[in-house]
Amino acid sequence: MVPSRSGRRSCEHGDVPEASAVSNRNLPNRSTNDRVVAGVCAGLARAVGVDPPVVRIAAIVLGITGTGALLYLIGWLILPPGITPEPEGADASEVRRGLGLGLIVLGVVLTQDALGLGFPPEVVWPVVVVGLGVGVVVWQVQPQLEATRTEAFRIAAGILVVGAGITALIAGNVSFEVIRSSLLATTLVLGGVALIVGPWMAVLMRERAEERRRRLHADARADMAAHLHDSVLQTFALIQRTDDPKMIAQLARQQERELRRRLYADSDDPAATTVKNAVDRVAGVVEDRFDVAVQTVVVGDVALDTTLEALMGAMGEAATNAAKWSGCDQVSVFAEVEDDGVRVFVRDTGAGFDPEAVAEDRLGLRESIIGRMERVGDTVDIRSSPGDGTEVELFAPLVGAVRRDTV
Amino acid sequence: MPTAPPRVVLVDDHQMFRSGVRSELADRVTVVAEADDIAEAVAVIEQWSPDVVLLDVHLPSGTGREVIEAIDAAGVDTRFLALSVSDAAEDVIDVVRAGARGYVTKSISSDDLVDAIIRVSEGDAVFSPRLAGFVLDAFAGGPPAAEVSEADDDLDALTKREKEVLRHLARGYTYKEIARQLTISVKTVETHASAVLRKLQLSNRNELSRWAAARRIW
Repeated sequence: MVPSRSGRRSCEHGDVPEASAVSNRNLPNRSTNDRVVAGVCAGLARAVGVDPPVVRIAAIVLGITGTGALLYLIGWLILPPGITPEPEGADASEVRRGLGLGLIVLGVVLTQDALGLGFPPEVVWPVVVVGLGVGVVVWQVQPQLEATRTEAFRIAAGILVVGAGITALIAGNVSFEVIRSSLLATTLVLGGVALIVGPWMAVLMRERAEERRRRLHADARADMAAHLHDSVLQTFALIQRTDDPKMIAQLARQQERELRRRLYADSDDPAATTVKNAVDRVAGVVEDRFDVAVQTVVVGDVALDTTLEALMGAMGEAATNAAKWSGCDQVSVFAEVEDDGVRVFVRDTGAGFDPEAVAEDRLGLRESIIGRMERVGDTVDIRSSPGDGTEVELFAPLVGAVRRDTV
Repeated sequence: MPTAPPRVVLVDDHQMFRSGVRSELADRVTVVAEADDIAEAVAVIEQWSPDVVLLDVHLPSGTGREVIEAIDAAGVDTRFLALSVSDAAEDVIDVVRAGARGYVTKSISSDDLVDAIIRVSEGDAVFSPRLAGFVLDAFAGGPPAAEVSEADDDLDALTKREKEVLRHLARGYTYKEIARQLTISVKTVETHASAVLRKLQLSNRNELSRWAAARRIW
């Protein structure tokens, strides 16, 4: 399958970026869009300025003598993949390319037979079949080939062909001598190629890994820089233009909370609904709305259910009350996930009030805290006396949820 | 305080913060020296052997833990109070386990900070609500000491009373308020807090190590 057809068309119309056009002319690369096997011939043809078929025929002729194949392999390994502008063979479908390949192989085999190079056909054919099979398998791991729906079919066909080749080799009853000498020759050639190309490949792979690592690092840095710019620098700019100390404190708190969330967040998912996240979120809302600091301490963590959501709502209302009425600038919220439930304390050291004396029509306490909690079976305990601060204790039983020890 | 104000060394890499703390504490504690990295801190502490070292958890060349360990090795008799903006449990627990006598965040009011310094200089443990929360978390799920059969485990578990004191600390109560709530003396609250700190520093088994492993702290 040839990728990015439209991209190629635009190349044809001279839309090629300057750099790639230059590199195409001067340095040989491996054509990824115009190829029969791996694009080596097309790439070389572009580099020297002739038509790809000329190079291909030369390669086949060389291939018959054996050196061509080796050169082609080396070319495959060392030439970087690139796009050649001329889409001459671009419309080659899989079938057409397969046919071309088959013809090349057939030509090579017939020619060496006709020249009488001396490999008996019962060796040549199995080797060709095995080679084709391996080729088809190797084809699969080429990264520039897109995964297609025919992939499974091709792998299966490859395995089938390899199997058939081996069977033919065994069934052909070839003499041990012949197999040994051809195996030896193959091993020598492959060993030679490995010696030449191996170290270079290792270096290339290391470089690629290193580059990948560097890019990840750079990405993380850029991400952080972008975040700092969007948040911290903007806040600093705002603070410099603000005279109201209350406003400054509020901006600073807001920014601090955001930065902390980013630096120490337990979960990658900010929307994760657990007690810890909910407490921090509610505390943040109260801090923003009123000029108080809300200190949160959460012990243990558990996912929210409807009962716990009611608890979190009541907690927010209790913290809001403390922020509004207590007159002190700090509210403590302590939430602990116990074995059988979640207990939350909202405390301030401010004015305090007499819980018995709260008018029936004060909805905040009656409805938002007590009513909401009791409807879902939670309990509320309010301890306060004038001049001695207030503490609201909320408890919600855990229903079927499992305590999570890891915060 | 009838005694002389405690002598303090400030270790923090931010010049602004050091001068801020120094001016706020000026008349109530004596800041004898400042340092902004580990090597300088160790040298200055050895030279002055102060009552209390106010120690930042994060220093440019390492962590506060390294300062504590170097001073321990040098055999200087001083007490450390960790002071940090960090909210990360591992930073806090790490420096407290190394031997800091307490932990407070940088948002603490100067009155509370002076109070904490004096308390640490007298040998008490100082828990910010957050530290109390971390410690509770660390020991969470462990059985109370009364139910532990093996004597070895006594060290690692908190007693019911200690947990109660910790919970109140986490809820934002002062030692004095806790004493009134639990109808015990302030001295007893301080004893409980110190016991918790000792257990935290000595404990290397069971709950704590499991907790630590779960968070990949050590």
